[in-house]
Amino acid sequence: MATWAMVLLFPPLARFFLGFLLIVGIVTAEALFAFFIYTKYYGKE
Amino acid sequence: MPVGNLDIPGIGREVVMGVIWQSHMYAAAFIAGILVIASASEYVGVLTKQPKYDRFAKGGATALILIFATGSFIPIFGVLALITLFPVFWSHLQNIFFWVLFAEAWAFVGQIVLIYAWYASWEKLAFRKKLHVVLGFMAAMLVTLQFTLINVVASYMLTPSVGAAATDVAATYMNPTFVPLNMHRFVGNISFAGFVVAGFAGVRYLRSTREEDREFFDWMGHWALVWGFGFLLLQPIIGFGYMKSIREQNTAAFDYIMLGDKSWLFNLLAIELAIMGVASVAYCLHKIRFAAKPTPALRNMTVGALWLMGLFSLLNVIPANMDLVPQIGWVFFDGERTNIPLGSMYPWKYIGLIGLMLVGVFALALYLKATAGGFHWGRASRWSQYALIVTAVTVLATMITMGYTRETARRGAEPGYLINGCITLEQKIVAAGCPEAPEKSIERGTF
Repeated sequence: MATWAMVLLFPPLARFFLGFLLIVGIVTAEALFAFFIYTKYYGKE
Repeated sequence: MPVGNLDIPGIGREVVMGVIWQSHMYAAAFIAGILVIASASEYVGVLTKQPKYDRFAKGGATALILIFATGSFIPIFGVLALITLFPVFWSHLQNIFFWVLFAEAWAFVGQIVLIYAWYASWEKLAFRKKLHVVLGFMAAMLVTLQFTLINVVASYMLTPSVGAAATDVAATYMNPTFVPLNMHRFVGNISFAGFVVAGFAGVRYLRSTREEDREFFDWMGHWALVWGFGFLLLQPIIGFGYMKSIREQNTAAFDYIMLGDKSWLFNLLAIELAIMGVASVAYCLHKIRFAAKPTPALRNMTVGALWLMGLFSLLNVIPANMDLVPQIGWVFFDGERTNIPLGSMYPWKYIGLIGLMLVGVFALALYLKATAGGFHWGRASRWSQYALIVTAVTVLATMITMGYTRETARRGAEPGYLINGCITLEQKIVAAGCPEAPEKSIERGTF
């Protein structure tokens, strides 16, 4: 079960870099998904 | 009831917010910038009757709708996360900015209608091109309006309108840093989209095998860089105006990000500016070799500009003291008390920033003069394309640096605020009549 002690499990610096990695991951996934749609449905113009 | 006291295990809700909104910012800023660039390009195509501008604009519109469609889930998820994780703060903000957010929602509806109509009618309106151009410009204006409205909210959080009631729509709208932030982001979006497209063109050029594609992507990299670099050159002076208004209205935030523990952010920005400036001028210098009319004088002057750009950029990069990044232990010698020669803001950073702008404008003007005579497209070297890719990667880093800086600035005044002087990071309201809080809470001694 989650407890309040888990809330800030990581120190500030680790949270900063975890957040940064998450941003990179989300934006990369978004760009790749957009590119996938482009090549599958738009590329044959 | 745990209202206002929910959190995310492991990383905490503040990181979750940072991740969501920074990710959203990439899509939003790109959409805002590319709409301006692509719609203007389409119009240039109409004026010059050169089909490459239309191909560029159509490509921009395709990228725009793809990013719009795939990126839209992030802000929706973000609003859900705000309601769940910051209910007290968000309900206050929703109350203060009801009309602004209401208008934002309608601007969003209009934007969806216009950008998809603009994209979908490309062939249908091929013989009514001016009408189509108007559609594009209207979409660009609407997305600018949408950005303006969200800038009202963002700037208010850092510098609430002192002395105005929360219900005073005009006063909260025209909060102290709204206008400079809006200018800064409008210009920044265009520069951001320009550099990203230039980097994309660089990658496509390097992968192209057909001569026709090589010519087009070579030109596309040039055209996008002119937008990216041209608008970047406006940023130091607009950014200075923005910082000045933060200093006047929220001194604690200014001290925190310019002089205190987070001043490394501006050293990082100086490094990013240096990379973008030097890479852009190096690209221009390289391209001038392929001018249709030989221009040795322009080339020699651009060589000088490249050296000066490097010199001024170096001046900007020098930190003020040895307290570099205290968060990771980069404090050397006596830290803050060990000053570095040429590192102070006055006069060195002023000289560096003004010099960077003037040299950049000079180099860009030389480049545009060379461009006027025409270029041999499709012959650019790999290194010039690497320069474009470097600017694209660096501008991605710059956007995240600036976004983080604005949001972390509210930690400057103890104990850290969501709305400065009004609602703390823990969602405690420090004084009744929130927008008047800074003065009233100073009187009460609770600030």
